[in-house]
Amino acid sequence: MAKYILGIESSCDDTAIAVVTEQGEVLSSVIASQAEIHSQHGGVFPELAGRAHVQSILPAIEKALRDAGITHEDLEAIGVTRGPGLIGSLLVGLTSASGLGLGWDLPVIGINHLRGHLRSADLEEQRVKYPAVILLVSGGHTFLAHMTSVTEIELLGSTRDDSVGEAFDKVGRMLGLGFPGGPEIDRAARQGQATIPFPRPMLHKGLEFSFSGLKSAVARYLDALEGPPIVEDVAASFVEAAMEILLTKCRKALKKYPAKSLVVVGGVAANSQLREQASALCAQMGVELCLPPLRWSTDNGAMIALATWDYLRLGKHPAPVPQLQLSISDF
Amino acid sequence: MEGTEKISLSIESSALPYGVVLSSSGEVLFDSTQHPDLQELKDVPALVKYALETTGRKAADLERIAINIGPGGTSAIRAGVAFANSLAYSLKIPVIGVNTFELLGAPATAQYGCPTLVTIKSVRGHAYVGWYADGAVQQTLYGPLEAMVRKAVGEHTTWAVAGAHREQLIALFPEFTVHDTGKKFGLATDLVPMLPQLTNRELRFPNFVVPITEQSVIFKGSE
Repeated sequence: MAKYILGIESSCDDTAIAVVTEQGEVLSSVIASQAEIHSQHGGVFPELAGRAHVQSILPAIEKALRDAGITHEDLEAIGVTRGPGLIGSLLVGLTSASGLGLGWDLPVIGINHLRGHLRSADLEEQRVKYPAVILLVSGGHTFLAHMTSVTEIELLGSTRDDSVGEAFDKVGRMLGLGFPGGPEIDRAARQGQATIPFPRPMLHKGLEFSFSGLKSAVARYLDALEGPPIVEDVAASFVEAAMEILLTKCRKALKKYPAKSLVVVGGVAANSQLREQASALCAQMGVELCLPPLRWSTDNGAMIALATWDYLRLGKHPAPVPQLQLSISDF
Repeated sequence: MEGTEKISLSIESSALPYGVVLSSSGEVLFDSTQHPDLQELKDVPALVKYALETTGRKAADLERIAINIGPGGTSAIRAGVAFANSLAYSLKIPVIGVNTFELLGAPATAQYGCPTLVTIKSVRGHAYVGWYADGAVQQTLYGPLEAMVRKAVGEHTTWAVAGAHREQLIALFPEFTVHDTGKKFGLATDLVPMLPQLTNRELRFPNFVVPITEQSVIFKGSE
């Protein structure tokens, strides 16, 4: 009889639970979003995130099991994000998972959130062809990695300051577009002209990223304006700069490292211009573009569950305790 | 028969290290505060596992969980509450929430025979203040420490004090008889004698306990 993993993700502002098979079939995925709570603050408010997780985690677990049509007796293990993330949010997921594991006599494995994101492209169907170059672009992370197999990963470069998703959120706030900023900036940018020459920090310096300077340049531009900005043009100019940085680094990585596919994951992978430009780049470079469906781009429990199967196969059982500093190469 | 009798788990979560107690029919079987080697352990699931293993019990032997839901250290309480809820859910047993005012107030009032003032630190000079008397918490307030304390104490001239500001409050009321309980935090062992009176508070999923915060309904209209 097939066994399942219960995946628990609570590293930031979404309580996400899923039931997943070893082949990546998703039997259920429940996400309790906190967007409404944090939109009033223009960003994630850590204390409120922790409080909301406590309220939503058990109902989400119950719903995930019910939607999957299984009981705890059908589970092989519980996988739970142990980091990186907000400590108060992580602790709720970790201690909840430990309680379930103790009561149901199941192993509980602490999963590296970043490895979850990398595996999101293989949910529901095997998409990634190895070796692959992976671009992870989210509110918390921005990096490029090279994968020679599902579990063998080399970090190629990461951001030295802000993540690209953070820059989107902050620019969105500057432009009065609300939180999260990504979807609204994307929409505004498509209606504007990229007329403002914002900088492209570290564009020609290896595979590292930097988005703090770009974000500050937008702030300076807005401060210097005497009248109201043309929001669509500012958004278009910002997005053009961000995309040029991301795509230039992807091109460099694809030239330098053998790859059959380029995988783009994380919340910013929902950006329509990134999807279009990555598609054009892959056509040029003769590699396949792997984009997970949008529902798996943002934080979700299914990616954690699928990564948990990798841990089990390799006999890796990190304890379910918080670990705020984890690199992509860590299990 | 040992190993099959039903036991209760009591958790004091308002400060680290956690206090974890196993009891049966009012008898304490395990008390984590009596194990010096556990005082650095900040992991409540690990403490509970240790308690069960040490006493030769299994999680399935638990029949209820009682936990201090605050106010107190927010991260510790939240993690403790999340654990208690999920363990209760997984075992299909009830979970009971007890607030810090009851946990500190009940034993002090029994000991000194007078009401007990309980204060817990918060941020920006604010405090959580509770007045325990006649077997129940009579008043709960959140706001500037001195103003809230004066409101809670009212005309009373004899009381006990527990919590974070005991020395400060004894000095503030030199004309009154204020007994120092010596207790800054509650003890999980103090939950044990309370258990028989708490059956009407047992929550089963889809109900569960949530931490007390400054936004909790019990503090509405404090200032």
